[in-house]
Amino acid sequence: MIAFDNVHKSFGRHEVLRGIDAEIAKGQVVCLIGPSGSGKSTLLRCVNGLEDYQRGRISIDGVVVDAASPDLHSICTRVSMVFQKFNLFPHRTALENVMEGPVYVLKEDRQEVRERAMALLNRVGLAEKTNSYPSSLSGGQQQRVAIARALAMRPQAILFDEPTSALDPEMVGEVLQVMRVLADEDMTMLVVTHEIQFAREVSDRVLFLDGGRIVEQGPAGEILRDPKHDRTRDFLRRVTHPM
Amino acid sequence: MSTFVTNATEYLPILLRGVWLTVLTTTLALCLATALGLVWAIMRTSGISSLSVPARFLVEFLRGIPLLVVLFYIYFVAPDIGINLTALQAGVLGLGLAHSCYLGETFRAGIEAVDKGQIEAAKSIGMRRPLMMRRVVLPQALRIVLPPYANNMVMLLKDSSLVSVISVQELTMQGKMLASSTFDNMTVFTLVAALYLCLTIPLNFLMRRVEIHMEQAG
Ligand SMILES: Nc1ncnc2c1ncn2[C@@H]1O[C@H](COP(=O)(O)OP(=O)(O)O)[C@@H](O)[C@H]1O
Ligand SMILES: [Mg+2]
Repeated sequence: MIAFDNVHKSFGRHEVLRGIDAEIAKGQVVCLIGPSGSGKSTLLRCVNGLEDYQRGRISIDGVVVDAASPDLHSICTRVSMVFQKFNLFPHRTALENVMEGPVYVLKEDRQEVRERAMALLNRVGLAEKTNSYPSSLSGGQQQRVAIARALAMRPQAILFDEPTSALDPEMVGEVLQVMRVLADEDMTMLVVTHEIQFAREVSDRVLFLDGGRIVEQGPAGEILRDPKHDRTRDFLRRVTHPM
Repeated sequence: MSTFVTNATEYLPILLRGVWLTVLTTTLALCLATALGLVWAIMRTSGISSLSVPARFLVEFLRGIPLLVVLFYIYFVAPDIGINLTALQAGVLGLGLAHSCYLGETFRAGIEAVDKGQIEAAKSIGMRRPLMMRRVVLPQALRIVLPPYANNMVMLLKDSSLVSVISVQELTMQGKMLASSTFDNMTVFTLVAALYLCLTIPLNFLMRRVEIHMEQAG
């Protein structure tokens, strides 16, 4: 579904991705872990065209993601993204945030979209907050609206960039719960996260990224229980025992 | 005091004619300045150098010339190259052009102040640039820009007194003519100043209300 083939990406002379090879099958949940600055966000952002890359190939369902291609926008509509800082539109209500893409980008029927958006907000537990502005919602609620906004595009896959990192601890659970349900419904997901517990329970596979390379990848249980590489082991020790 | 009141009631209808032209000039020039300012700002923030460079040049160029000279230029030089404008047209054009530079810079700052995350969110739901500007960036920039915009509006209104030099019979001009025919400088210019305040103070008040209203909306 999403395939990385020897992807290289530099910012100026700083090479951030150094040959990424990976494949995410339809319906799979893949967690991307790794130390800060290892290129996780960059890799995600290359998938939906927020960044371009210099070498190699990323394809979604066989369609190559190419920043220069005029089709880039239609690719973006097929892969949604959920951001660390939510990035809801502050001048629109929760419902309007969810409706924005389908109505204005996909040009779907407004009434139909409204019903679907209501159902989505209901699904993420925010039926009562449809008319609230983001500023009056908690972080956890905002992130759930952002997930509803991503789902409203009927994406083939969703990219999550540390969706719980900006949240107060008591709100992490409600967001992970929504993501768990999505995973159960066979949504294809690529998730950058430090929530090792979540990765262990939900993901099919874990990729460990370090210095712009995938150092290790495999089934979540295996990698998280018994990492082969020292770097992975070090990293896991640090995130699971942060003291 | 009573002579002041008698004289004032006599002068007021004449000055009110000037007020009307001041309001007209200001409104038309504001529309022009806003539209052009928006164009300059969008060109400058486009990231396309064939658009941003000319816009930047034009703004720097116009800002370097005193408004009075711009007005003289448009009114007196334009006919030489075959463009005949009425005094009002020339005044509106001059004021509008000059203020489009200030507004352009204001709008640009507003656009650039919108959180980059908003642009990413817009792109991530497949928005192209024009739609993103219209639905995401400009509405948010508007909020940021509103206080300086209101400020600009008041400055434009005050600057409209300068078009008197090219014989637009707005408030300042009417006052000057009235004063020179009555020699009652005191009463006339007190009234003129008061009438300007009657225009600027409500404008400030109105803008503050709009700001508060927008803040409440989220
Ligand atoms: N827009 C950018 N310009 C220059 N360097 C960048 C940019 N974005 C990220 N980087 C650099 O790329 C590297 C990887 O960043 P990132 O993908 O954000 O890492 P991670 O998400 O794993 O923490 C970092 O060294 C960062 O400084
Ligand atoms: Mg990151």
